[in-house]
Amino acid sequence: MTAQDLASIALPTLITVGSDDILTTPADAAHLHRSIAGSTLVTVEGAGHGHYLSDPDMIAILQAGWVHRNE
Amino acid sequence: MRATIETVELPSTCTEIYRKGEGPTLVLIQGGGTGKRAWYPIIDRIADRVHCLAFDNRGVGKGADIGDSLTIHDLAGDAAELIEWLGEGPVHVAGVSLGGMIAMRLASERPDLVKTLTLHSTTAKRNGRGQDAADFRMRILDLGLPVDVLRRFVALWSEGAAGLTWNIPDDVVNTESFDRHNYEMQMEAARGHHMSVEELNRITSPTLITVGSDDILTTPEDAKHLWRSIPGSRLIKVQGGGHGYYIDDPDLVAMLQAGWVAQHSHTP
Repeated sequence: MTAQDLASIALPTLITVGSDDILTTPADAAHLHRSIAGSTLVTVEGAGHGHYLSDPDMIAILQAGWVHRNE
Repeated sequence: MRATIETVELPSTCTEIYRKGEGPTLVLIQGGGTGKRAWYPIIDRIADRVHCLAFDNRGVGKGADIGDSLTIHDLAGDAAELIEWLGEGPVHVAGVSLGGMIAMRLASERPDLVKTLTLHSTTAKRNGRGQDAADFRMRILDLGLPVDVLRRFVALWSEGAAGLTWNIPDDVVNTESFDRHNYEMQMEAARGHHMSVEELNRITSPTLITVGSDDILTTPEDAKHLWRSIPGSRLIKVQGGGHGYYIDDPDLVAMLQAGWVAQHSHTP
């Protein structure tokens, strides 16, 4: 996705990343955040790429809250 | 949904409480020089799921005046008395900045009263820059400058890199009810705040810590120290957020806060 492609996203966008993700890194997430206007980026400290598997509770909080916020 | 306001006489102090919502009880503790009304935007967003209770610490709003000394231990004692007055047993507790200092002290000393703990934009000990900023606040008052200058200085320290993208709530250094002695005493209480690693280790409540990536007062590194020291705690960093991100982005704080409370309120 080019920065131009990402800039065309006009939907409310939540980006999450683990601080220890070495596959899709916090820097990658920061690039998405910078490119998608008005997006929200939260970093889960100590989490890796599979944090949605290792910590479903935290993802559930973020995901359910995001849906609720944008209903 | 209707809110209620009530004056409460406690053994050590008196305060005014604001209650709104249905569900598990969440006690919200505000920061230095800030009244309970600064919580209202968040309360409005979660009251359909959470019974929220906000109150004025000593020295702000309708809280009692402060005498010759004040410590975070004293303020944590006030919060403990309020929770005991509620008579519900342990409740969810959240604090921001100085309120976070109070909340962590409460959770360490009275774990029987705290079901979960949320610490927004706070620290185990003020860093040097935080102390200097507090000293400068008092310098503003020494120079006889309008309280509004102090209010704007506080906002300046609370914004993220994007600048002040939000209106300063009236209850943050409220110019209409400002009292220098009370303010100074709260600043002194924050100055004396220090939770050792051993004390933080004693916190047994599930703990959520949040920090803005651009917080220059209670920094991401301060938050990491809390995260490393409080067993099993979780740390969320909000990109672009400053010290006052809870004001700037009440939607995000509301979703984290309500989610955290809900997750720890299920009956087995």
